[in-house]
Order: sequence, then structure tokens, then C-alpha cells
Amino acid sequence: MLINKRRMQLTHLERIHAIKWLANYKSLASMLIIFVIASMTSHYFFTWENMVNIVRQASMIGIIALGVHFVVLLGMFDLSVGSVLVISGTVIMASQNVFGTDIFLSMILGVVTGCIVGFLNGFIIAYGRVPSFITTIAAMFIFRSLALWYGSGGALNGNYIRYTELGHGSTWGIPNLVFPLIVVAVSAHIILTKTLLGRYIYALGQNPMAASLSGAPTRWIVITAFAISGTAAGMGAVFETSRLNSISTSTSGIFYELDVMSAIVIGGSNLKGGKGSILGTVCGVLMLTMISNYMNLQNVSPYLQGILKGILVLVILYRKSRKG
Amino acid sequence: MSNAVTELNKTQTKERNWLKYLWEQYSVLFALIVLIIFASILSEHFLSITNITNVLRQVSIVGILSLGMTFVIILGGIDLSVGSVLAMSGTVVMASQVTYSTSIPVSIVLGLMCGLIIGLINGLMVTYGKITAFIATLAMMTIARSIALFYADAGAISGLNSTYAKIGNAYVFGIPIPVIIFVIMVFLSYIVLEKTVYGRHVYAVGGNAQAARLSAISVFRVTIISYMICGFTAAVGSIIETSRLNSISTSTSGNMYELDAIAAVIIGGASLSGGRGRILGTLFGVLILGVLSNTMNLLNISPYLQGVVKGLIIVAAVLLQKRD
Repeated sequence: MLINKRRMQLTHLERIHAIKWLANYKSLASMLIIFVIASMTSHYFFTWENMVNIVRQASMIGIIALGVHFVVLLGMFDLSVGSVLVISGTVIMASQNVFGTDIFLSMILGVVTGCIVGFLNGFIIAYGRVPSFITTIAAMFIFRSLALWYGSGGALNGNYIRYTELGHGSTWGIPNLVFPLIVVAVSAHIILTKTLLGRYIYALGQNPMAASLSGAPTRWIVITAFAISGTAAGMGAVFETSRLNSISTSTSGIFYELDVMSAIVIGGSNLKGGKGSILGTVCGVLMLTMISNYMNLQNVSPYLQGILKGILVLVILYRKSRKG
Repeated sequence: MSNAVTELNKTQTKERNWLKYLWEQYSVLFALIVLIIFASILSEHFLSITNITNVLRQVSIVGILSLGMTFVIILGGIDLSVGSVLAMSGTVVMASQVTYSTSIPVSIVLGLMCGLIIGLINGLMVTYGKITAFIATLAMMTIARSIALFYADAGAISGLNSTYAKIGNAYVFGIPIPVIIFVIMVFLSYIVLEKTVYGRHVYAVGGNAQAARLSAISVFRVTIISYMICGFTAAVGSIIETSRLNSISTSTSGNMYELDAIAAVIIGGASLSGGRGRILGTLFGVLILGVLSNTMNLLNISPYLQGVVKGLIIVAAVLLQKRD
């Protein structure tokens, strides 16, 4: 009897697992479909240079999306990532330029800045019980303004040419930026699937009340998720500054939060929390990048692309809501 | 002193409740009064008629937008598309005047229709499409902005008819017309929200949608009408914006207006989870934001730092509300 019951539970678990894998494959499958269609209809799409190009373009939004993914799993938003990127970038450029710190240290400073901002966001949300939407909108105002104020609304340029090697250079024909992206994606996947923190994050996203009743340290989970999101935005700042060797305090990172949110939604995450995988988010980012790359190749006006992307997000969400 | 206060509390609970009521309902008004007192002490120019007219004129556009936003937020929704709707309606107004040489009233009606239609689409997406308001209006923000950018190739459209510019620039009895429109809109929204059945329904749906549905309120209809009101106010804002300069810049007009509008509504005491908020609160919230940026300008504080103050005030406002 007991064995029977256990077996039934097992099959049930397996079924859930299979469904989860299918859901993952769905975003992967749609990405492959887009890939095949684009390769067939455009001569230039499936060339090595263009592939490298797509991956390079995707790396920026990708790294930020991996961080925001944690917050979305909690059923919250982080709208401040664009501004975190700009303040971290400002710290990196200013430390190189004004204080002459070396490249490595300045990068660490930038990432730490992002982490601190994320921590502050999480702290206000967890202990002040301010909705994440409002907190991160306020953070968006605050840190953009600080960067604008420091840079007088202009751009800050770096001192070291060598720094741009990270953003421009490639190793074995693969852009350098891809390597940190893969490392972050794999570690995010491991954190979410194999660690206690990951389990807690899914639990809190699915049912906050149940999670807190079963003794999960809810406040620290929220703070950690936002710190991760901020750290990822800090890494995004390293990517952005190393590509251009400069940061524009007025335009860098503007509307990144929107691209990131669309990528996560397209990747199959549920905005109410508790559902979504790293693989899905990576596929979502690649899908968005491929679509805009393909439309660029086909000479579609960039303004029309905005319309099409918006409609794409709506159609995906509409289909999802029909299903359940 | 504290003894006396407790005595008073014990004996005159009625009065204490009344004071508490006054504080809860009008704490925003007190904040505004304190702010005005500080402003007039810090700068002698603040209380001059010219400056006050100036403040009122500056806040009129975002003020009108936040009136519509109040409806949507009380409903428990959010509309991020208002800034883009403003740009799109403005494009419709200007394009119909310039390209199709329609008369001024017809072009205004077309612009208002444009706002209403986008609001209708937003409402349909949220109700029948069951898409989260946040993400549906985010997509609409991209779409509406892209349509405007696409039409005008990201440039500006300038009007030919100088009579139209009078709406934004002329005075009646020494009061700028935008301010008069703003006051009329405040009055109308106050009547609609506080004195009509529909307004009560908005509060009911925002407070508890399930209960509202069970008491035979058509939740869908109330929601759709609220989003249409929000789109309509955005269109009214666009008419002031376009007539002020007799042109619309498709790339910059209305950028970030949604955030200012949301900030004003939140400062005004509305709760993002719905069911709470007043038109007068929103009005005071708008004025607080306007007086703040005006004072900072008068005191020669870098305009870039205004975002910091705005962000801090939003968080502080929400934190203070939670204490009630």
C-alpha cells in the first residue's frame, strides 16, 4: 500500500518534471523555428560573422535578463536595471579616469556598485514592504539622476585602450563577452535548480504565505534576489563600457528594462512568479535579438520593429492566458 | 505635554478620531503646505504671481495625465503607455492639420479619438485578453511610440496654423489656458470618481474584484471605461503639449511622463494594490512634484539631481502611508 502510494507520487513527480522540460523545449523550439526561417529567407543570416554579431548583441540584454529572472521568479519587477547599469558604468569610467585605478579593480567596483544598489532595493522592499514596482521606479529616478549629475548629462570616457579588448576582442573566433555570459547562465541555472536558495525562490514565488509559514527566511530571499539582479546589471555595465570605452549618462541603459522584461516573458516565465527557467530566458533573449537582427537584414525600419516586437509580446501573453 | 495629550485622547476620543481622519485624508495637503512654506522662505521669488502661474502651467500636462492614471490605479491596474499615447495622439493632431489640412476642431477630435481607442485596446487586453496590466501597457507603450516614430521618421511635425498655438500659450483673465483646462479636468474627474455610480464601482472593483463581480458590477465594463479615461486624458495632455510649441517631437514628447504621473498618484495617497486613492490627493501630489522642481530651479540646484529628490519622495510617501 505504502509502496504503491510512493510509486504513484513518483510518477506524479516525473510527470511534473516532463511537463517542465516540455515547457523549456517550447521556447527552445520556437527559437529554432525562427532560426531556420531566418536562415532560409536571408542569405546573410546564417553566416559566421552574423552569428557572432547576434551573440554579441544578445550578451548585454542577456546578462541583465539572467539577473532580473530571479526577481521575476518572486513575482516582482526590477525596473531599475537600466539606471543601475548607468551608475555602475559611471563608477567604472570615473574610477579609471579620475582615480586611475586599474581595469580589473574598476570592473569589480562597478559590479559591487550594482550589488549594493540591488541590496538597497531588496532591503526597502523586504523591510519597508514597499511594492517592488514603486521601489525600483524610485531607484530608477535616483541612480539615473546621480549619474547625470556626476557626468553633467554628458558621457564619460575611459583611459585604457586595453579595456575595449574585453568588449571587442574574441578568443577562438568567439566574442569575449560570451564567456562570462555562459558562466553566469550556468551558475544561475545551478543556483535555481540545485541549491536551497533556488528552491526557496520558487517556493516564495508560487506561494509567499506557504513559504514563510514553512520557515523560509522570506526577507533575505527577496534581498538576495534583488542583489543578484543588481549585480547582473553591474556586469552589464562592464559589458557596455568595455564595448564603447565610454558611458553616456543620459542615454546608456535607457529602456533596457523593457527589453529585459520582454525577453523574460517570451522565454516563458510567469510574471506572477514561481515559473520560468534560465534556459527559457536565454532562448527569449536570443529570440528577440535574432528577430531584430533579421529585420535589420531585411531593411525593416527600426521603428516598425518596435511595433512588431510589442505585438509579439502581446500575442505570446494572450496565448498563455488562454491556456490557463 | 504628552500627559496632556493622553488626557485629551482619553476624554475626547471623538475629536482625536476627527484629527486622525483629517491627517489620513489630507496628509498630502499638509505636506504640500509645509513644502510651500519652506519654498517661500528659501526663495523670495517663489510666491510671486508669475512664478505660481509658471508652476501651474508646468504641471498641467502631467497633472491631466495623472487624473486618468488615478482611475486606473484605484482599479488596481497601471497604465505605462500614457507618454507614448501622448506622442501618438499629438502626431495624429499635427499630421491631420499639416498633411490632410483638417480644421483645428476636427484635428483635436481626431486626437482625442486616438487616445480613446488606445485606451479601449488597453482595456480589452487587460479584461478579455487577461494580460497583466503592467505588461500589456508596456507593450502598448512600445507600439504607440513606434507608430509615431515610424510615421514621422523619428522627427518632429510642426503645425502651420498659428491659431492652434493659442490653446497652449494664450491667457484668459490672466490665467493660462492649459491651467484652465487642467482645473476643468480636475473638476470633471472629481465628479465622475466621487459622485457617480461608475466612480463607486471603480473603488469596488479595485478593493475586491471578486466581491464586486458577485454584487453584479460589470467588472469588465468598469475596467475598460477606466482605461479609456486614461487614454483620453493622455490625448488631452497631447493637445496642450502640441499647441504649446505648435509641434510634436515623436522621439522626445511624453518620454517618462508615465513615471511622473504614477509618482504623483502614489504621492497623492493611492495604493498600487487598488481600492484607495482620491482625485484631490492626486492634485496635491502633482503640485508637490511641481513645487519641488520649481524650488530646486529657483535655488539653482542641478536639474539632474531632481530625480534623486523625486525618487526619495516616492519611497517616503509609500513608507509613511504604510504606517497608518
